[in-house]
Amino acid sequence: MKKVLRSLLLCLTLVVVLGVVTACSDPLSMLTGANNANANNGEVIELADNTEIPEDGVIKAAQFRSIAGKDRTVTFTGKSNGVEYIWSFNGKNIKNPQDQNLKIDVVTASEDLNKVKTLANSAPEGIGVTIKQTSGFVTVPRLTLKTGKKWDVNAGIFLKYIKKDNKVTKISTVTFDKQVQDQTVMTFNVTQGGDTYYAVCGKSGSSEPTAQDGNTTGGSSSSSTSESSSNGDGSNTVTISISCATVLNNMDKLNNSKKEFIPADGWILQPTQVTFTEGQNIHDILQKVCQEKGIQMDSEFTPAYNSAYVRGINQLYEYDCGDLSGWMFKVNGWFPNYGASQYNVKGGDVIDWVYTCDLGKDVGDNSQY
Amino acid sequence: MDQFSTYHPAINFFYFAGVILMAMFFNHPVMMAEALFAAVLYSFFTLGTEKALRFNLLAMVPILLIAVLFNPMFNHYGVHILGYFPNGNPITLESIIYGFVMGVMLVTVIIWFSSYNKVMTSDKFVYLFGRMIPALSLILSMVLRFVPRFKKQLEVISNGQKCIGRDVSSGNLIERAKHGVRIISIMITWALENAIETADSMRARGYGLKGRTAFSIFRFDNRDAIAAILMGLAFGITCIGLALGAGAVQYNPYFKAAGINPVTPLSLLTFICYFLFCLSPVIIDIMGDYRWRRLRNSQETGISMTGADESLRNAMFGTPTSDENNITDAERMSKGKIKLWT
Repeated sequence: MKKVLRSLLLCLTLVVVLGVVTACSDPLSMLTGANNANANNGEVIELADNTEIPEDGVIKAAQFRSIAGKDRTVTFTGKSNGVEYIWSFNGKNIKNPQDQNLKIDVVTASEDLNKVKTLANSAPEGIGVTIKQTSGFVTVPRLTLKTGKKWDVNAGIFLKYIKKDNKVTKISTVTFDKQVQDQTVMTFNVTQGGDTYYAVCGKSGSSEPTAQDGNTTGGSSSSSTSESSSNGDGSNTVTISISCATVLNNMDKLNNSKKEFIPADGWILQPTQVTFTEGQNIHDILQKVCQEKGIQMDSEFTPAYNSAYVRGINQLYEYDCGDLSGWMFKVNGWFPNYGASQYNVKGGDVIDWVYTCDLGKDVGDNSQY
Repeated sequence: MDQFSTYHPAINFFYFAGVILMAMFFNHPVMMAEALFAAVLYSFFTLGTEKALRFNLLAMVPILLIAVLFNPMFNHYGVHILGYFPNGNPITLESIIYGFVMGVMLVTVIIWFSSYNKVMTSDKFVYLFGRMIPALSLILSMVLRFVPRFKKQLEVISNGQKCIGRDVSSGNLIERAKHGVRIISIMITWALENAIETADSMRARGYGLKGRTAFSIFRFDNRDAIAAILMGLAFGITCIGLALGAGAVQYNPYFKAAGINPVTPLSLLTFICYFLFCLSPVIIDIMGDYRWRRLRNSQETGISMTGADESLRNAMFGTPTSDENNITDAERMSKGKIKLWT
């Protein structure tokens, strides 16, 4: 009797264990779930088409989950310093919802703003926005500013001011709403946060603002049309580049045996047009172009993130240039918060593989800080 | 037979510690080839020809092949791309070479350890370290004997079970499994009990107390001193050469080794000294063999025995029969009747 009971208990335990294992199809995700801050319970809060930004500015991950993966655009509105601002998020590229702080402070006049205007080809008009979101965006949102004033402008760029070097780098192009007559309404893509950014405007031709393209980390002038809209342009080519320019500033940290694999200008692959077939992701494109050009590339599939992880390109591996080094990718200037196998490319995308020596900070990704 | 094991335990231990550490930390191809050659050669002296052949071919070659196959599956560095895996990662020559290097290193160390187990018996180890680190040396000597001892005991147990029809070879699948589990259960019980018994009996004999002597007494004589000086010299030169960069090698991202092309005097000296150090027990064995043969030949050429020796021999081996009467001692020795007689 006792023996039967014991074996029964054993069977029951076995069934329970098996059940748990099969129910959780990806056992690793249980371990890594903690990484997705407050995102592990899978709670969904439906988002309205337009939401007012709350006092603390935070839109919950649960709210973004309601639009994640869907081709649906929602807007969030707020007001600062007399300027009304509207964020629009499209859910299509959201794979990994996170809390987002959408509060911004608008700066209409400051010393830095004047400096930026001077640097950007002495642009006549400009406005600064301090974006509170410090750890990257879940997708590329568009920010619309209703300035309240009418400026006599028709061209503008959204840029970042790097105080240390006293220079500006372009993030995206500003478009204007020509329908509105009484004030200037401008819209631009935002790919990063955590700093004060500036939108400077002028007249096309004479006082058109200029800035170094933020995508050209390699240094040489790039002809890439980094200004693709998030909708794609319908063609079946994308632009891909591979650059390790950050290593040039950290040669002292570089593993000695890898020195000869660093090109003098940092470009392992100059921006190159490649064709793709529907459904290919960024990792596929990289693999294809590397095989075609004979560039060594090493990646491994990581089940926990359901994506490939690129360990090394052209013999330059993770950790080869300090403990915080490795390969990252950006699409149209934005560092997605998910893996390269999860992003399906579309026509006109500009893919940049960049080597970081500082966990992304030196290539313009703040998501780890 | 192996003569090196009759040397002082300190020399035995110094030799094995030296070659095993060197094999683990330096993967210069020349040094690895030397170490592998010496390890295999010496295993023939310690394990005996048949067992060494079986061990090296049946156990070591597969390990080597597995390492060669597995490394390129998980590592893709290297400038010589031979092809691509289905998942798009390159197969590189460098990763295959490094897999081979890892395999050779593993195999070399395993073969060294198989010789170590034959030469450095427990009593030698305890003699060396019993006073310095009594508890640790007892544990180490037990741990290093663990696998061979368990294998032997497992055989004893399964033979015992076989006698009562409960061996793994009898009955259907479930019964066999049951018998196997029983044997393992007996094995574990025995192991636990044996460990406690060993500890108790060692304590009962005053193990670790002041003034206690070892079971075996070894004398550090002139022969040991000469061997120690020569081996120490070879090892010292090797170490200096390695410290000066003679063993520098790189497999990632491409193969580059110091002192191969062109051969430098420093690297040549280092490699020769390392080779001599690795081969020292083999050299000792061959020299001992040669001396024994020479002694035997000199006996054959006329040194006859005294009457006293004759009577002693008769007392030990019985009176020679009539047809054996005229056979000289040397002939008898060569027939294997008398092992050593001086």
